[in-house]
Amino acid sequence: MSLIEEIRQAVIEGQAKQVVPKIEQALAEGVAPETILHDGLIDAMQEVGRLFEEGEYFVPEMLIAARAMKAALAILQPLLVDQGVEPLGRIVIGTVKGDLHDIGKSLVAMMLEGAGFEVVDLGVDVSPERFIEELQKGANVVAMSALLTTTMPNMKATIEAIESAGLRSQAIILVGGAPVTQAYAKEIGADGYAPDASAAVRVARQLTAK
Amino acid sequence: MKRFVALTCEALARSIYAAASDAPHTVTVQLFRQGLHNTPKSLRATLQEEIDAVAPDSCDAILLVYGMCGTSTIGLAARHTPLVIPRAHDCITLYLGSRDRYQAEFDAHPGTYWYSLDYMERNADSASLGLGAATIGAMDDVYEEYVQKYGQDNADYLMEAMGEWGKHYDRAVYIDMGHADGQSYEDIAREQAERRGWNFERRQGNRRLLTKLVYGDWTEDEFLLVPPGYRIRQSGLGGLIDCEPVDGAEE
Repeated sequence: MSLIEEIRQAVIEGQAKQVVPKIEQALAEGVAPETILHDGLIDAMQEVGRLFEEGEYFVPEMLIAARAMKAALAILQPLLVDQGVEPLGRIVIGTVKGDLHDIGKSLVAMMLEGAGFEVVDLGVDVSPERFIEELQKGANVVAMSALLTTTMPNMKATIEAIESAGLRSQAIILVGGAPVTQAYAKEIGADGYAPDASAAVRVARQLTAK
Repeated sequence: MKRFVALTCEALARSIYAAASDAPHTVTVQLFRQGLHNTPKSLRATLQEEIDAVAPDSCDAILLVYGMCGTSTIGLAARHTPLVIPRAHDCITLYLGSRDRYQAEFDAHPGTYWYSLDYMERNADSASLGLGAATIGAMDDVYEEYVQKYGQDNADYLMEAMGEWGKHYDRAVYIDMGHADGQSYEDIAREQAERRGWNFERRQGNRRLLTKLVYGDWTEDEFLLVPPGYRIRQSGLGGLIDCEPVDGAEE
């Protein structure tokens, strides 16, 4: 098995502790950071997404794979920046105001990072103003989640605030969370909806590629 | 005098019995297991089956004594008999008596863990006595499994990641509906709150919404009436839910 393949496999299996020395070894052997990113990490996370959609992987497997990917990315990121490798897009993500449930959101954030996006994770209970601030700093995608029907209306409020700030045309808005549906996303004027973390990556790719 | 069939959750058992006992109508109550909202699809399927099983002309309306409960009641369709459902997120609205009151509580303290007598007395798993939350005590059991499957390092990480939401909670509220020996359950809720370092508060429940429902006082602002051939739909426009014809509805 090639070193890249070993990295890919370790990410898929969620072995964060094995991934890090392998990345260092690959870099020492002169493998380009971009190659490690694409063939090791992004490819691995695609496979993780596929395993989830096939029903082979559940949330714990996805979480530990994403964790391994993040550990690897922490080493690669500065090198990629030095080499001017551009992310697919800049995504600001968070649970909406009042919503404190972040497992799903964090998983989506990590999957997006693993797909090659730059992600600013604002955490939970994020006000419209915080999302807007990040848009002003150059983010081009807003990803919001709500686990409760109680907090769902704050997605609409955030979209309205982005409109009022005159930033709606520069922002691609994605929504998700257990009670959110495609119809609801459409009704509140979001650009995209994803029922799970794997679909979120697909939708973000499609919308940013346009 | 009208005849209603009320489909409801165990969590509201005592309250709906109490409200129905004084109603000017004949109310037949059917209880469903609490906690079914954790799998909205199966709760929805169960309720639709019951709606479909009600014989035509056997009652004037089927009362859905539920909230949206996630998306559990979204998509439920009225066949030959109208459905009536409160415009509510979940049972906490029904306990507190109005959507506005719940919203005010929620806005002031989003991180609230709710307790009630009905829910606690019917909950077999004493580790998770709070309304709706099934995971809080059960996490201990999965730790060992995670260690075996993913190794200790990953197991520790998973416990932290999946228990994260609990850290954002800061308040426990026991809702007293005034039934039976609520004090002993309030004490349990208080102990759990203290153990987790949350503030503990007690709220007096209010049966007004349930009473309105079984009295047939279905005002538009608080209830949705679903005519035969229509189904419940989520709405982003303020009333939480509305309805659409089953034919031609968007899937």
